[in-house]
Amino acid sequence: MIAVKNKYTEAFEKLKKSENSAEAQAFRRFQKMGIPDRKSEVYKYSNLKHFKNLTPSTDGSIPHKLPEYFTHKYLLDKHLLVTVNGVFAENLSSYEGDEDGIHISCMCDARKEFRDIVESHYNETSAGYPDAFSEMNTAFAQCGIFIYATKNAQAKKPIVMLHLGYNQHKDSLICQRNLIVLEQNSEVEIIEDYVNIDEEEAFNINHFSEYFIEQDARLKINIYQEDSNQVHFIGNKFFELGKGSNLKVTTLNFQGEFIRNNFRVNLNGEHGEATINGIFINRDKDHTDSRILIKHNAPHCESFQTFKGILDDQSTGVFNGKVFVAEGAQKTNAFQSNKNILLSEEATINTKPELEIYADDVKCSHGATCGQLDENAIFYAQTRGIPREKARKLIVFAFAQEVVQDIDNELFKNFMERRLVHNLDLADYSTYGSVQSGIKE
Amino acid sequence: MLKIENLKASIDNKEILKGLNLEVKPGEIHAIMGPNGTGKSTLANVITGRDVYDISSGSIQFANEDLLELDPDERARLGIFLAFQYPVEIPGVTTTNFMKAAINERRRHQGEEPMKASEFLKIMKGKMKLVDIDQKFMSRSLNEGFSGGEKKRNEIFQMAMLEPKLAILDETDSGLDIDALKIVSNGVNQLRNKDNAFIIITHYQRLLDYIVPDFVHVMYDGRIVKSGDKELAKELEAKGYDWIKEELAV
Repeated sequence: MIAVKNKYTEAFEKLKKSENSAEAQAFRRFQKMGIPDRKSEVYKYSNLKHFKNLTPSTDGSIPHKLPEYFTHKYLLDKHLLVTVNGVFAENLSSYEGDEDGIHISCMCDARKEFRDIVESHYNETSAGYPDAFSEMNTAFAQCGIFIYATKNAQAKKPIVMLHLGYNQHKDSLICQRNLIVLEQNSEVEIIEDYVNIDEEEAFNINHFSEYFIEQDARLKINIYQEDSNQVHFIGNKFFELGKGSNLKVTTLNFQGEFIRNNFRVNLNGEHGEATINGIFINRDKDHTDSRILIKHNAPHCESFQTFKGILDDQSTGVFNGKVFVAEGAQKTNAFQSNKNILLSEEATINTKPELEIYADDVKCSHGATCGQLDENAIFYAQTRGIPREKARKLIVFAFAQEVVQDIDNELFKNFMERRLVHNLDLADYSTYGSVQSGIKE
Repeated sequence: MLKIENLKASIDNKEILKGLNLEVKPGEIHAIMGPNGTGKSTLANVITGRDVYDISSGSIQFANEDLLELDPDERARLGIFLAFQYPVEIPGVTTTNFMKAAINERRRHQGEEPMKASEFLKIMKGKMKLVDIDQKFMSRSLNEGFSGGEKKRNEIFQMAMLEPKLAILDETDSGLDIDALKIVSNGVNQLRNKDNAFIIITHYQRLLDYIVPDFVHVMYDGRIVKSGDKELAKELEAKGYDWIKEELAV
């Protein structure tokens, strides 16, 4: 444990929260836990020293205008929600606040307008899961995004969340907090994009989103983060799924200095289904750590995890995916796969797929592989006239594409394919040059 | 076209090819037969440039180039093709994209523009018919989940797409039922012309009923020890390889 009196205490005192407020309680719990050190099993391979001396950002200044590039990045028909340093930036966003039964607002407004909904859901996913970063987030939470889909509401267009870092001091930490509630039989699609506007500046984030997907509701989330130099990201995404509900998450991390994604899914009702897929590409000394816990608390649920890593140079990666099947969660079907390609001798991956099962009539499979590129496949491609280097890239691209291909939103999928091509230096590869995309690059 | 002289190749300090000679001219079909472990597949791999072998002596000339100086993909672009005994599965790469990459790579090296999508599709459709391959295989991952026969047909399809000057078929007939064998043979026969050549490596005379060779060579202990016409294949089928060994011992 690393003591966190110093800057965190100073920053919290400035907020002047009352002794009994939820924030103060969370802060005391955070103080007690401290930033986890390497002795902590859940952060064994991810060094959090960087977070020790940061100051949670309490400054809500927002630029007047969104850089041109971002206004046009996603050409698809959408609700655009922009956050700047964790704060919902209404002036930069363009959305209908109350369309098709989908309510969108900042958290502060939601606390007034949808008080009952917020009170009955906010911070509810934390109970029973002590975690320093979610406690810290609750203590310092900025005014983030609130999405509330009422019963039977169907979002006609996806909600694009642009999470921007802007003029951050290198020692500051953004604590962003979002709450997403989908009532019975509603449907929402979200695209999340993390970007640091000042590429030279630090981008430290403690992001915490809670999702409630009630009976028969459906939520799709595509998360995208690319090329954020100096990014230090801790993302907690906690999901509560009701009977017959469906969740599909795809997370794409292309080069980031330090990325830690925690996904926790509770399947609480029969016939719920959760899919959590991910791909990362690491270079230099990038580090990506994915931790997934899927809990089957009810019978007849299904869960799927497909995670892939491509590691070059001296980069490192961690995968820890766990499926927990509670007593009585019979007829569970859980699938988990983690595959990694190491492109350099100095790259490292630590992978740990886990199953913990307390029911006897279940179908669970898991597996992990790490290896270098298949020399037989490279030679095979060469005998068809494809140069060695291109053959390597073709195979790596195909490896990554398996995750991308499973994205349901065609425009976003095409965009991601192009970003893959870019990130794997395949730009000169005519085979992939003709992909149509509705998204600007 | 292809001239191999006194070729010696070893792997892990074990000599496999022990001074092999072979000349193939345009329009010819050569069958190479012989017992297991005599170096037939090694020969195919060495011609196409697999880099796990040490070549201690000898030369391979192809179209006036010293093949041993070239990378496998350079050899392929010169017009050499290998139909693999065990075709490799490449997850995520469709047969269509794989062929597109191969064809456009060759065009790029010849200073040509990539082939138009419509032209590519037209050619592909024609070649698919040749080996009776269903459209659905084209959009599936290369060889992944294909049966043995489907993989072999896919090899012949790729050969048809790339129109090599010299095609080496490494036990393409193994594991094929009679119908698949006919389809594969028919593909080869239709592609055959006076300017290209084939080396067919096989254990069995059966394939040679459908693809009639001009020459039959028997390989034993890293060398070609006997050559003849198609009648030699029939003799081998009837008598086995022991008489060759006995002949050599004398």
